[in-house]
Amino acid sequence: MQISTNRISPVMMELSVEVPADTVKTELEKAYNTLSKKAHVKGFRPGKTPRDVLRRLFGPQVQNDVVNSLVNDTLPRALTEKNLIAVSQPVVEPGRLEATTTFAYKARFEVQPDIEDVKYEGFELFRPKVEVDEKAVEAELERIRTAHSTLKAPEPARAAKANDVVTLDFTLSIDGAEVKDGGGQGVQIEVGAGQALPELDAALAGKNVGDTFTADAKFADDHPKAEFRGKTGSFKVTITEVKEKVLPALDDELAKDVGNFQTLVELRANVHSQLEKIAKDRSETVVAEQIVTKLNDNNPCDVPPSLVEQQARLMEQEVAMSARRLGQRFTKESLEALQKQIRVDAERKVRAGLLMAAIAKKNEFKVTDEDLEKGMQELAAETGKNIAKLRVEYREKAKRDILIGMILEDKILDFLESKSKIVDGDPPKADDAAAKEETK
Amino acid sequence: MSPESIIRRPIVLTEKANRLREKTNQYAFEVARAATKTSIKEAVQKLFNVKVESVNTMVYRGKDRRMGRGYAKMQNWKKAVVTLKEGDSIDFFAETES
Repeated sequence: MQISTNRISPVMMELSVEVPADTVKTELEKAYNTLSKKAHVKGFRPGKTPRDVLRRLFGPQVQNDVVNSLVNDTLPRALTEKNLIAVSQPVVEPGRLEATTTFAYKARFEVQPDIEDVKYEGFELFRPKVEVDEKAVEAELERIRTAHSTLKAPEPARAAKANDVVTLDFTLSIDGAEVKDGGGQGVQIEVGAGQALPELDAALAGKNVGDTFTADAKFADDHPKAEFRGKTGSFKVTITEVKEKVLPALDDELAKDVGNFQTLVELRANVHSQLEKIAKDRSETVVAEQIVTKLNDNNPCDVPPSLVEQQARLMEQEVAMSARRLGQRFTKESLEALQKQIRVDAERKVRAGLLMAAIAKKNEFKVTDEDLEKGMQELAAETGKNIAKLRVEYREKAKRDILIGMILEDKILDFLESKSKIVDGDPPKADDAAAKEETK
Repeated sequence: MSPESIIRRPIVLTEKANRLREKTNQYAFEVARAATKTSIKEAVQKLFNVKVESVNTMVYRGKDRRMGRGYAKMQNWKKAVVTLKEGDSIDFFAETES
């Protein structure tokens, strides 16, 4: 088997392979033998059809099969022999297949670029300060209070005002006709919280239990139901209950209700540490993002388009999922803009990944058993799982590889950070950077 | 009778015809009932540009085919096995391919 390689671009390779004649011959022979046993040709018993008749009837098909099997057989071997790793599906351009001569084909595929020299020293990075504002702690506690609030009818009864929860029955008519299934009974709405259409929401304030009134409200132009779009609906509402929210006092009792805390001090400390962790994570992410950006800016290199495509598809899925969760919908233009942005981000991410891999290779980073153990302990602390259970779980190769990848990435990031100048404080605004890039 | 009307069709895709062709250089044809050995010889020589040594003919009795409740008899037909001079051959596929 003769193999020659030809680098078309830093990320594109062409492999020319020549398969020796006797391999071709045996392969063809084999194909016809199996075919002759199976083929039903009128005038011949199965297995008795002469070779040249078979060739006339099934020639092109057999040729295709043999070409495929030859390529499938030889291409992986050729790749390992030349120490190449294809990152895209190879596109094969087969030559002519004849029983008496060698069979040559060309395979074109993407490879990881050879990155020899990565510039990674002396980056100027900004690390945002990890600070927890006491105000933020208070706000979080307030949120907890609201979450644990109870509903109570006010004494004495009074008109509904903002933040009260109103229970109501209503019917809906559009253009004078009542909409079937458009009404509701015992619906709870918090006044002034934007849960109902704005006009209806405004009308609720100041109403008492037992009041019946009509409110006109306009539906949004992009309402999910086509027949509602842009129409004005007339709601006939009867208020059955008005309740106010009663917030629990900020004391040890609340702490016990929230969970595993005995005193308010403990709860406060916990909120503080959680906020601190979030801030710290965010700061780490900011630094990591800067490293990715700097690596990209300092090391322009080609990246295999198929890897970018893969990454972009992954990111698109993530975006689509979070959009669905938030109930967002995209217009065609915004979707296109988003896809474009994702492409750019994906390319940066892939390039940074390749560069980091090159750095790891150059500096011979390895993940040792101790690292793994440490990683698992961290994971156990984070997820609250039993460490022994985790150890068993991560004996599986696929999972282990993911963990190893994560640890390796952390190590590289730490290494890069240690080689950089770290400045405390927020990084300069992204707008400035973008503006700079434009002027370039 | 013209050569084209004497030779109805070659018989190629059967085991027996295949064996005759490969082993004894004989070719089988369905021919007109009225054709004689001499006329077949002349027709084959003219149509395929080969030298014919001898011709054997046989009449195949038509098979009974069911037609609803009763039987219908298929036409009797004549087969000719033509022996060519050594070295001559007829390539039936070449014509259909082009």
